[in-house]
Amino acid sequence: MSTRFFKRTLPSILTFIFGISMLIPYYFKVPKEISTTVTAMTKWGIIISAFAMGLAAANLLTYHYSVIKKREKTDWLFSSWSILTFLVMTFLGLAYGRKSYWYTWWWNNTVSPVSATLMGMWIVYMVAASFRTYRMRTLESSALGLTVLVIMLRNMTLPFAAPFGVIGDWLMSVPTLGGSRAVVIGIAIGTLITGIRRLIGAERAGIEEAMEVGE
Amino acid sequence: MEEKQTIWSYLSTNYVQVIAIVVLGVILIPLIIPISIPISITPMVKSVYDTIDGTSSEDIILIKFDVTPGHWAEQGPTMEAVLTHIIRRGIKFIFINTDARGAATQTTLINLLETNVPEFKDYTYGTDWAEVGFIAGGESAIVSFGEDVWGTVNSDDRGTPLEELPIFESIKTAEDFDIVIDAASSMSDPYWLIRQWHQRYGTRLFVVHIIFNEPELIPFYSTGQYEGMVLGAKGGSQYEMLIDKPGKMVLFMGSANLTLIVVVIVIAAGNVEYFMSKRRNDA
Repeated sequence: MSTRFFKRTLPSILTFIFGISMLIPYYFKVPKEISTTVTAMTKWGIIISAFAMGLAAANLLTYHYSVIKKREKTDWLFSSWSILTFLVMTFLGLAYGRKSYWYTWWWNNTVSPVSATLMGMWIVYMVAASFRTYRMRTLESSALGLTVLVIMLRNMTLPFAAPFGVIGDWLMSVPTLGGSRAVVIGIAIGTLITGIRRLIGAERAGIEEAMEVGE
Repeated sequence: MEEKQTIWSYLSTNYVQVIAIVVLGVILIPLIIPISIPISITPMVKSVYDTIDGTSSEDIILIKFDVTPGHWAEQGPTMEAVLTHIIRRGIKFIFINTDARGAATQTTLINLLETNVPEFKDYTYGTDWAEVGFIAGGESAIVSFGEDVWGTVNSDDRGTPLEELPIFESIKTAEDFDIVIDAASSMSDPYWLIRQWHQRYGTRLFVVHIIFNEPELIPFYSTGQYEGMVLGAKGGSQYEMLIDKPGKMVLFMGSANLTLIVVVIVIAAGNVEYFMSKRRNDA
């Protein structure tokens, strides 16, 4: 068998078989034997995803180990911290359980405050950026700036902002709704076309790269 | 010759630092000195409240809890309010996570319920509520869990087999859940339940989400695919008022209101500065 068969034809055949098998029971009533098989195939997806998470963990360790080994600038310090927290969380989870006091304590005192801080900083930068972003230089930027002002006032619960609630609700339920629907329908059509192309083997992006990585 | 520094020239170069201090102030002050703010109830929040209020204690609600730590401040207290209502009504509920971080923040939520909701003490784990835990696979997990609950997970998050948990006796597929509440922080998750559960089984969906994603969620609310939505601190504060238990979200709305006023002032100041410098350059 040629390399082309394993690189292109076989992945396309497998994609077609699995894709069609998953698609038909969504739209049509099928015999129980087929639906049971499809349910089993969905569970394979869960197993593969769980395996991928394990692979991601291994990849994380390998990457940070290589950074520490190179000792470049101060990056190795952050990588050491990453590996340490990874090992501590893994140890606490395996030894005491995910619901244990120590696991929860570590989570609540590392991941939670760091994530909340990042979100808090984002607010500061967003407010600071609005100083220059919403300048009414042109007609379009004026429309953008005024819309932002109205939506900001709409999201307030203060009495003086009440009239802006009516305008803001209209903006949300007419132009925003129309625009969002267009985006959603556009994505759906794009997904459908990519799906069909993938099923018939015309779309091979990702498959060949994956095969090359495998080599 | 050195140009004389005016307040405008100072602000235009150091505005980030000034804004950071002002934002910090307007967030902190209402938390220390609470501001009394009138909160009006919107139909999308009222719909969630009315549905839970009309649900029988024999019904079972599935809560897909995928709140990330970064969005906990916005969604955690909101979910506490929603669950307080569910618990007061004596409705059974099951948690599921498709995001590993949600499984961890859920522990914090349950600790809060144990502390702040006295009625939760009457709830028996396994009979009145349960935690399925994290299932990998994203949309595949949703599909599989909807088609065959017992085939997808054979034990709960604590390792107890489903046979030993009475709440799962009547739960076989997605059709056995009366309501599903999707509490998620990322935008991809809500589509999964619409595509795989609402369209196939007619599942009644409600969403507790961050307000940032309102424009993307609105199309699904307007079509009725979501029957109700509680979005951000604004939605959370409304829910707290509906259950007559003003809490963190009502308090937080003071900070949110002042921060929004600062944003409006900053946008206005940015424009004033722009037009003044333009006039100076033109002259």
